[in-house]
This record gives sequence, structure tokens and C-alpha cells, in this order.
Amino acid sequence: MTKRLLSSVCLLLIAGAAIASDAVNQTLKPTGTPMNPPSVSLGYVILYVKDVPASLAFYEAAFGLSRRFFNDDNGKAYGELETGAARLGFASLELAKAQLKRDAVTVSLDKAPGFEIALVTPDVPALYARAVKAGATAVSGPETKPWGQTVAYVRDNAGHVVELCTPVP
Amino acid sequence: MPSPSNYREFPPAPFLAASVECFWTSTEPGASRQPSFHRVLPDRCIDLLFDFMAAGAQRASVIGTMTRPLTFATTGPVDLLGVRFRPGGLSGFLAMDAADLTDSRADLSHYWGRLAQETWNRLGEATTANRVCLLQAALGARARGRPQVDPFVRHCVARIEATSGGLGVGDLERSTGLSLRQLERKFARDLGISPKTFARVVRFKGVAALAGGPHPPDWAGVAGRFGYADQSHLVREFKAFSGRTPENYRAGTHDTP
Repeated sequence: MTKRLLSSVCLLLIAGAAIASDAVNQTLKPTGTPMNPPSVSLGYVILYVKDVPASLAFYEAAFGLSRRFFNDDNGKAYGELETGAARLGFASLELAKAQLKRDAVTVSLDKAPGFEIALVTPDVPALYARAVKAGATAVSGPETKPWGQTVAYVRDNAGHVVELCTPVP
Repeated sequence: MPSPSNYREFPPAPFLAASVECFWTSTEPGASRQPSFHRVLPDRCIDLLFDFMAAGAQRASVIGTMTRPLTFATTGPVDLLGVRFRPGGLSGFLAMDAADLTDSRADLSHYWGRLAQETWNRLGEATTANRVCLLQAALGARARGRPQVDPFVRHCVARIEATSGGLGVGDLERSTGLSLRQLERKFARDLGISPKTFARVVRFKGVAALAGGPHPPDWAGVAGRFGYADQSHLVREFKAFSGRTPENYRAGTHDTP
């Protein structure tokens, strides 16, 4: 008899607790709209070059990257490398001109272009050696920065500045 | 005026990525009556080629590893579909000695029998958009249960490519524990060319990639860096693989079509 009473009291208590906790949950439940992922993200960096196959081949040899896509429509050529979420691509000058309705400026080796491509890799000295071996112009060898990143700089076959760096933790 | 051509590459699905470098298509409407000339350079790969404009034995072919350029002319429309195997990647799909195919083209039905013509028919009936998918599925089905790339071959290929063809044979012997004779037998069977020739083609590919820049490369410096004896050695090898000296090749790549 006592047990039944106890258990029913317990049930009431539990029920009460449940109801109470529902009430608590209600007040704690977030009322705002959930955070959306950013609707804008970097999808591609596309370099305008004279020779898209040569650039693709150079990046494959120098950095061990592989090709995602290549299309040559009678001189309007476009190719893409597998570089993670943001893709590195190359468009021929003819393709760029068709899009922009004007000639594109290519980089020149006697000046530095106004941008760089940074490739992230765990072993910068090895990738730097591989790139230089494949014909990349050495700019500066691997060095460790005060913030802990190891960086090196080369220029690709078309003169673009490519930084090789370790990931920032 | 050369007729407009469209060349596209497609990456393989992950289940084929170890053996296949890419699928590719080349189409030309062929409206102009002038022949168009094509030069295909050694790329250290073996290709299967499906030619939808051809008859009989030309329809489905295997093109072996090339050690010299291939020049050919086409008149009329062009409609090609190809699979480019990674070096050593052919072994899962064709039971054969790659050395038999070096610098030549063979009828695929010698190796696939009736399946070659059936595959050609099915691909030909499909839309261009579906062809790569279909061929990919056909290769996937064929690969099941068959040997994949020989791990020693894969290792040597990776090391030679990572050093742009500059690696010595001694290093390959040391890192695989196999003798040069054993490595040569494997390369002959799976690639059709020796490790030394493979390294020379990889080196050529690296030099050719440098020719596409805005300034003429310092060829003497390039020769040293890639392990040629001197600049004239580089020029000789470049000419053997491409049919042109590096400077003429550069000039060719910068001509407007």
C-alpha cells in the first residue's frame, strides 16, 4: 500500500517535474532564427595566362596538385586544379578578353604582381624543393615566422607569386 | 584557318582515380573542307580511344605510351572519347604487355573481343554528356577483382614525377629493394617504356610546362636544374619528344589560332 502511494506520489512528482522542466525548457528555448552559414564564400581564384595546359602541367609537377577540369574551346581555354574548397583555375587570355571585352595584363618577372596565391601544406621545405626542381623561380627559402608559420616563396611558370605555408593552428 | 575544336578533360570518379588520369573528349564540327592538323606529344600515358566517326578497326583502339610526337590530319567532323590511364594504371583493364603497344595503336577488340564493339555502340548511341559516365561505369565493372597498379611501379612513378624526372635509377633500386632488371621488367609490362625513358618523358613534360611563360626561360639554367648534361642535350631531347626546338615550341604556343 505504501509502495503504491509512494510510487504514485513519485509519478506525480516526476510528472510535475516534467511539466516544470517543460516550462523551464520553454523559456530557455532560443527564440531567434538559427544562424545561417555565410552566403558568400571564396569559390575560385582564376589566373589569366597565355598557355593554360602549361600552367596546369607546371602546377601538377611543381606542387603535386591534380587537375579537376580542362576545356579548350578553340583557344578559349579554362582549367581548374583540385585545391580544396576554393579552386585555383587558369583562363586563357582569349577567354579573358571574350569575358572582359579588353586585353588582360599578364604578370611580368621584373615587377611583383599585386597579389599572391598561398598554398597550405604541412611540409613546406619538401614542397619548396619539389617546386624549384620543377622550374619554379626561387624567391625566398623556407623560414619560420614569429607566429609559428613556416613560409617560402616562389614564382610559377607564368611569373605569379606563390607562397607555400604551413597551416595556422 | 583551322576549324574550331573543342577539347575537354574530365576527372575520374574516386573509384577509378588510382588508375585513370582523366577522361577526355575532342570534337570538331569539321565544316571547313581544309584538313586540320594535330600534333599529340608524349604524355607518358596509355589511352583507350573511341572514334565515333571511324569504321571497323579504327573505332575502338588502345594507344600505347608514345616516345615521339604523333602528327595527323583530319578532314570532316571529329568525335573522340578517350580514357587516359595513369602510368601503370592500364594493368587492371587490359591483360597485355604494354611494351607491345609503345608508339603504336592497336584495335581494342584484340583485348576485349566483342565487348570493344559493344562498348563503342553503347557510347555512340549515348549523348555526349552521358558518354563519360557510361565509360566510367564500364571500366569500373571491368576492374572488379582484377589486379590494380603494381605498388612498386606506383612508387617509382611517384618518385620520378616528384623529382620532375631528375631521379637516378640507383635511388629507385635502393627505395624499392628491387634490381634495375626487375624494375625494367615491371615497367615494360605495365608502361611499355623503361624507367629511364619514363623519367626522360616526365622531364620533357616539365620543361614544356615552363615554355608557356611570359619570358623565355633561361634554358641553360633549366637544363642544369632538370639534370640535362647541358643546354644542347635539353634541346636534343626536347626535339625528339616534340618535333620542335624549345624556342619554336614557345613560338607555336603563343601564336593566335
